Amino acid sequence: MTNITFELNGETCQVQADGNEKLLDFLRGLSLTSVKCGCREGDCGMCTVLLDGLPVRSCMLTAEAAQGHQITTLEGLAHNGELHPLQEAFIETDGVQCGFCTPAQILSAKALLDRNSSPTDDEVREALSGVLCRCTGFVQIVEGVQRAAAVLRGEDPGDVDLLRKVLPEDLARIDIPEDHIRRRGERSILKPILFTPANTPPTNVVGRPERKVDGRKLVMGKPAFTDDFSRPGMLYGAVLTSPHAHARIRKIDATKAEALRGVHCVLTYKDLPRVKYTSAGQSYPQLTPYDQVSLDNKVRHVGDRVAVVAAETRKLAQKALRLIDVEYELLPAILDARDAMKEGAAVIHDEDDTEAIADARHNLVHRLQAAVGDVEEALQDAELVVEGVYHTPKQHHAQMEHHLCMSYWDEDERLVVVSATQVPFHVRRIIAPLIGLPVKKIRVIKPRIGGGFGGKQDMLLEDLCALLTIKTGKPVNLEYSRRQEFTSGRTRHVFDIHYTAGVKGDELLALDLYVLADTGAYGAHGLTVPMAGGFKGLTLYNAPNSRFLCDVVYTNTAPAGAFRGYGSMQCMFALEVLMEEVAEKLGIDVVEFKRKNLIKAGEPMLLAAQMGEGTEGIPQTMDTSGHEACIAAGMKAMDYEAKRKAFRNQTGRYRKGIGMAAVFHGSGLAGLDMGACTLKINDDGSFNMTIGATDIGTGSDTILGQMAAEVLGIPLDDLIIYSSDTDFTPFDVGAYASSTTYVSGGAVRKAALEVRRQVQVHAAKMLDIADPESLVLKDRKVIAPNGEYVTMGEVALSSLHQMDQHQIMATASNVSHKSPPPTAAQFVEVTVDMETGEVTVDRMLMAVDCGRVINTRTAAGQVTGGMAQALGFARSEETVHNDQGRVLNARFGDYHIFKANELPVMDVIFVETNDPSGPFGAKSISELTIDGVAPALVNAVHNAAGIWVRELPLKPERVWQALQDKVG
Amino acid sequence: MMKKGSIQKVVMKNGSQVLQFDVNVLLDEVIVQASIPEVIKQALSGSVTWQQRNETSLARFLAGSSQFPAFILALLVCDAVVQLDGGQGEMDLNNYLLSKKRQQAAALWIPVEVPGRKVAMAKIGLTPAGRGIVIAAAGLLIEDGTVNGARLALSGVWPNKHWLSTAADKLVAAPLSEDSIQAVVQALQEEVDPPSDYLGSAAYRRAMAGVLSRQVLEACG
Repeated sequence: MTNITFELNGETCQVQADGNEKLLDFLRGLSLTSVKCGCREGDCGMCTVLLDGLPVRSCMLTAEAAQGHQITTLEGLAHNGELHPLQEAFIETDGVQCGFCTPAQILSAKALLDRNSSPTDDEVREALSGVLCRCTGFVQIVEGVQRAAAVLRGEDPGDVDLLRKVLPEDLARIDIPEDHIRRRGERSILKPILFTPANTPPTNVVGRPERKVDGRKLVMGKPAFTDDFSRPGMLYGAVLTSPHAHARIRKIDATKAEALRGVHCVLTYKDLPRVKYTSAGQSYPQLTPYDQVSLDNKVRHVGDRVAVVAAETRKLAQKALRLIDVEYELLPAILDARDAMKEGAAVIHDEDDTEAIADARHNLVHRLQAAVGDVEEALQDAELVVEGVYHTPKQHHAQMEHHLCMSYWDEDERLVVVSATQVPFHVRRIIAPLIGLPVKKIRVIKPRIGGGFGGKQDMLLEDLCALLTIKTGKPVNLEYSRRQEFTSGRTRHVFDIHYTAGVKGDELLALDLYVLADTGAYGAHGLTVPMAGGFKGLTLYNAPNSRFLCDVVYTNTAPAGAFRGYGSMQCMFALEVLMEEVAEKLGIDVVEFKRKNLIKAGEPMLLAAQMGEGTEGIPQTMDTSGHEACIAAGMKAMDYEAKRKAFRNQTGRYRKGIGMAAVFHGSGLAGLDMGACTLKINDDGSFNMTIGATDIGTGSDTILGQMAAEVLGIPLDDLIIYSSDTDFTPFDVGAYASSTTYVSGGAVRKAALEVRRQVQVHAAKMLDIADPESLVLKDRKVIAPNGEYVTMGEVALSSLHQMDQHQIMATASNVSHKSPPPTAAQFVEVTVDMETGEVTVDRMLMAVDCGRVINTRTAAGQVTGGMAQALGFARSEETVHNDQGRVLNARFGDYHIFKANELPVMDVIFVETNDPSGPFGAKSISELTIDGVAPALVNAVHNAAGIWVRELPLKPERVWQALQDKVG
Repeated sequence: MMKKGSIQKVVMKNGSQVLQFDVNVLLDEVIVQASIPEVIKQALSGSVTWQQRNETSLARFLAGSSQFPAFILALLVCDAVVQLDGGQGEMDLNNYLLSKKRQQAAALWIPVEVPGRKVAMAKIGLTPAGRGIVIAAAGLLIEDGTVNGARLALSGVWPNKHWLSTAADKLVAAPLSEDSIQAVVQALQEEVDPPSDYLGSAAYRRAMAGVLSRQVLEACG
């Protein structure tokens, strides 16, 4: 141990420390929870602190490095509860989404502003480039830094609302301000534009840029995430994973590991009953094969679970893993989906206790089929038939917070699992049989989540963590390392997509879609992702003759799972490129061709009845569509037509191009997703709102609160919102399928309406008014037609203590038999280097119809963040493995997600529609935003260089090769 | 890493200016020097983060330099020199980096203003600030229209530590011209021995070595 003296957040600190301990662990050991751990490899920047005022990565320095220096963490910025201008600005601009990277972003920004009080946007981006963010796309973070800089300079930073305009009935008259067209390539951040139809009812809280309800604790770095919580005597777990893609465990011996002092438990398959499950966090009954057990005697991908240990320190747990002797019998591995069904291929699931695999001998998990009309006949009748074959990559979620959980026995001998999960209620149900406890003995708590994007919709660690607690009786913390995230976590499904389109005149007669979907080693989302993709990939154009055929196969690669876009973005990519190819072959304007054939409001979705969530669906109609307005607004803002013309027949090394894609998505799973909400009044007229809905950083707690506040006539600040805890909040399926705003929001609105009714009834008695419904709730008051009023606080005190005593409260549930599609138009402008194949994305713009926008700030953040993730999918991201199935880029440094200084200009336009079934007219937003970038990018590259690149991502070599092939 | 290092400007007899950096100087202190060549600023931004610059001293860089390939190339084409510790003299940076047992360095000398010298760098990466698939940098000393010194440095095109191309010698003692650049590019195609990985195949890297070299040499013209 070494004596270390340093200044910590302005106070002299003298401590004894293991000099070799990482500064990260040392600081977290001092309860400085703002210092986050994202990789421990120096790649992500989450652990950034200021050393003598300059940003450094605390995982790359030892505790000794602090000796004699000043260390500043986020805890040092606020004084006596008063936030630093950067902290305030990050809340105001919603530069905070999940909040996991926020401490590091704010500290980096502080160091910059201390050095340069008036930085340019590019200088801000460069300063932030050492800290990754997977949520925001950085637009609102840069805005936050500039806003704080203005405040620190003594300037008025202005408001944070967007530009509000009325949507004209004649879309040709849609008004885009000149600066938003960026004719000279300007890069400055511009406010999003919101177009609202003239007849939209006014609201007070809904539709406003309300501050995120959890913003303050996140910008202060308070303990909010799973790893920020500890229990006395807590052990640290670690998972031994397979180094082989396909092998049988012949022998496993944990004797040496168990003998290590400080190791409390080692579990292998020999120690556990063989209980089958699927990790997919979906509603009961899950329809995919139960093809996993907690620990198996066979491994099916590099990174598969082999054993788990619990020890007194993380270091000791890792040491114990190295002492477990495993003898593997190597088996042939299938690493490419195209090989999976070949005769004689290795059988990945040869166990005899997995049911519901379509054809285990050929690794075929599911064969999916659906059709309307007669595709064969229509193709024969068509004047033009165009086929296209497309391939999409194995994208990784790359959320900043690892998968991790903590479990312990509470004082009532119930097992508590604190988990970074998107699906706490599903986790409780799934782990119960695996750990041998009834559901009633398990409590799952979801604290703040450091990003999920679907990756945390699977139950990956909670069973093992709970088993370690059950075996040892002690609290256990278990996490995947960053490398394990890449090898043992989940990924996007790789799709090989074959489309055939038949056209007569300019009408799309037929669309035939075949998908070969790679679900990896386990089938968790192998049924539902391709089904969702196929449905949307055929319904966007809703051709009268449409057919879907899909083979879902196992491979010995990391399992695919849920991932924002959920099959749709793969199919939208292929479809929207195909439509461009068709229009080009027809010699007609692609936008006009799409406009003519896109599904319109009022039309039935032809395949909806056949294609539900892995089962039969529900007949549905497209109630609203903003496609026309989104396309019109986007084209004007991009100066699309002029550019399309100008970019024809270019010569020279650098060539510009512009592309467009129309996309749509869904809002929850019709007839399946359920959300619930409880509201109850407190003495002062505030309300507790408990929801099972799982805010994973999107701001859903905030927007759901806004809905309740709108109904109750109170400010958002009067709601105490809590999500989610299986003991204390009502049920919700969780955060997936773009369901929260629409489904959970519906529950909130229903609960709030019932509470409002109760308030009106009680207030009517207080005011001696005969008709309670005549009372209006506004500004914390219940107001009678004659102007008399009682305050909400008076209603609360009266109902709780004085008159007709009862608790004003309500619980409501919501299920919808619709899933109204939000719609959008995505535009991308590029420059292609004809010599190197490098594609520089100059600008992305998305015009979005998500129904009514509930919070203009969080919605805009969803759009920019979605576009940034989609750009990775389209341009660069791919999990690559070698011929033994080992992932070659299993760290952020090699995988590389777009950083602050790499992202293009991103613009957002909202075009509101009023969905009749959505709360306040809202539809979903999050997943929609990821669907359009890839096809718009490929179409832009075609516009620039005349090549079609049908395989993603557009790595420079792939584009260069296509250019070489074109030249011949 | 946190010792303070000194920076001095030295004017040489030929009018060149050299910045002398104590090896305790951090990379971030290098980049903020007003007179530092643009190519070095370029090499230390983008894919190199502020955090990395604040944590890495020149001594640490010189001890294990592989994570900053663009910086190496930039220093090489700027003719940087390592001053050895204990009065052991000076060593050309390329020789220093290639030496099997590196001696302790005391300082790094970076010529910042050299009459007639032109430098340029180009990169192709997976993303704009991503790790370079191929990086090329050129430094030419052009006096009275004649190339009197030429350095062409590349990364991503050789399997081992190897940066400088001998093809650049073809430029010396003649005016820079399209033909002379073409001769270098042609010779370079033979000289490189690119690896192949998920970022780029050997064929692509070889092609890019030519494309980027032409680009940086033309930029120096």
